[in-house]
Amino acid sequence: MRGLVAVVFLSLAACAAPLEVAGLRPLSPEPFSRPPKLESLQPELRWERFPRPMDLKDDRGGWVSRVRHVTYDLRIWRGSRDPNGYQEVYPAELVYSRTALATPEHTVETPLEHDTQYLWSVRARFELDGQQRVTPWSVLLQPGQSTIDDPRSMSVPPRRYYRFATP
Amino acid sequence: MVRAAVRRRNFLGLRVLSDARSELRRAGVLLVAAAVLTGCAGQKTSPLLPPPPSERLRLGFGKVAVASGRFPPTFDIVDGPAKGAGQGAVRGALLGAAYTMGGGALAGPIGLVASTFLLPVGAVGGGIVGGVTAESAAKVEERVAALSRSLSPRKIQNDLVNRVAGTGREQTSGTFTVLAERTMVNLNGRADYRSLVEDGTRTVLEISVVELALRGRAAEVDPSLNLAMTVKTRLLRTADDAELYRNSLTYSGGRGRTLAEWLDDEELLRVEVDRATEVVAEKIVDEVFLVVPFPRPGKH
Repeated sequence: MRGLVAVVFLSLAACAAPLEVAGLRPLSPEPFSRPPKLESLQPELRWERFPRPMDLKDDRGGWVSRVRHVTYDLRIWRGSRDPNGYQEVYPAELVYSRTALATPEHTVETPLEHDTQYLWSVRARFELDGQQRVTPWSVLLQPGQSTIDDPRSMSVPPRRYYRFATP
Repeated sequence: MVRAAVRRRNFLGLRVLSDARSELRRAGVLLVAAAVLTGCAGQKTSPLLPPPPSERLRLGFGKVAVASGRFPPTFDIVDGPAKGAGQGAVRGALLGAAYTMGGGALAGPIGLVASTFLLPVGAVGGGIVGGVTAESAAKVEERVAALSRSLSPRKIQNDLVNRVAGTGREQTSGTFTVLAERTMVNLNGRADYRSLVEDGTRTVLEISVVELALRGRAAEVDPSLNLAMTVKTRLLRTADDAELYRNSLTYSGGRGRTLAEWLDDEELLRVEVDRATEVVAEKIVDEVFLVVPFPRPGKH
């Protein structure tokens, strides 16, 4: 009985824990497997600053130290159910896009639709040796996901962008 | 004469019977295959993209000419609607059997055992429904032909080339030109871009839409079809036609429609093709010219 309780508890804890991500990690809303229901139609989105401490650590003396003029690109898509059934939602329509945001946060300037699931993603845009460069768009990683959901999958558009739902 | 007619009717009757047996055999084989495939459903594989070109390589790109691959894409319907009552009946039987098993499995072990006995009933019921609802082969072929006529694969290919060049100009500080529609080909039929060196073009980005299709699922009688577009990209150095980089991308559309629905409003397909072109063009420019992967732990 105790074993069963422990298994149930661990399963619930796993569901409640934020997911792993590839790319700049969202700080608000956090990446859970179920899209968090937000309280505003113009949510404030926040994410990690680039370069991250781990980038500096993993690339000591490499290209990261030559990065200049970092800004951020943000995109929000209206989600739609994927009829293929292998994912819950896919990015059906790009509804909001901002380029070269100066800070890793943004409050959506135009109201989104009520009771709708959205996907969103960010990437850093920067200069490297005088050339414009970007990081990959950030996506969710889920345990046991198929290679079609791999951030390097040749299948586009990705289905694993971050998610939230509007009130 | 009457005998001949009777013989002919018997012959036709036997043929129908033989067709039905053959369809049933196929249904059996497909059922086993479906059961095996269901077990593997969780193991979807999709090739991964190669790493983007290195910064050292990118430094040498200079002026880039964007070229169309030599072969225009083919348009196809893959795993489309069942053609005729026979195929419809087979698919319907498979679906009926699958739903019976699935429904039984949901009810637990007893349901699973019961569903095993009810399997033939589900298969026969599904077969009847599938046979009745499937369109004739001629009608399906006619619809496919009509849809093919509404698309111009060559235009789609050229639109993609122009979109890549446009996105390249917007997103990077590089110079992008579009080569004329005919790719430069040498006497052996291979692409040869060496003459471009004279006008200062150091790199060619060759783009080929190799597949344009509406994809469904073979198990359904009238499946929902999604747009699929596969594009191969090659980056070549004009000085010696050396291949510097290559990748392949597949767009798979989200919103599926039946063949009849796609035909009802051809604008929907054009919009979806346009969206595919935009998504693929942006991904090509990102991968070839812009993206720098995050440093990997332990790589110094």
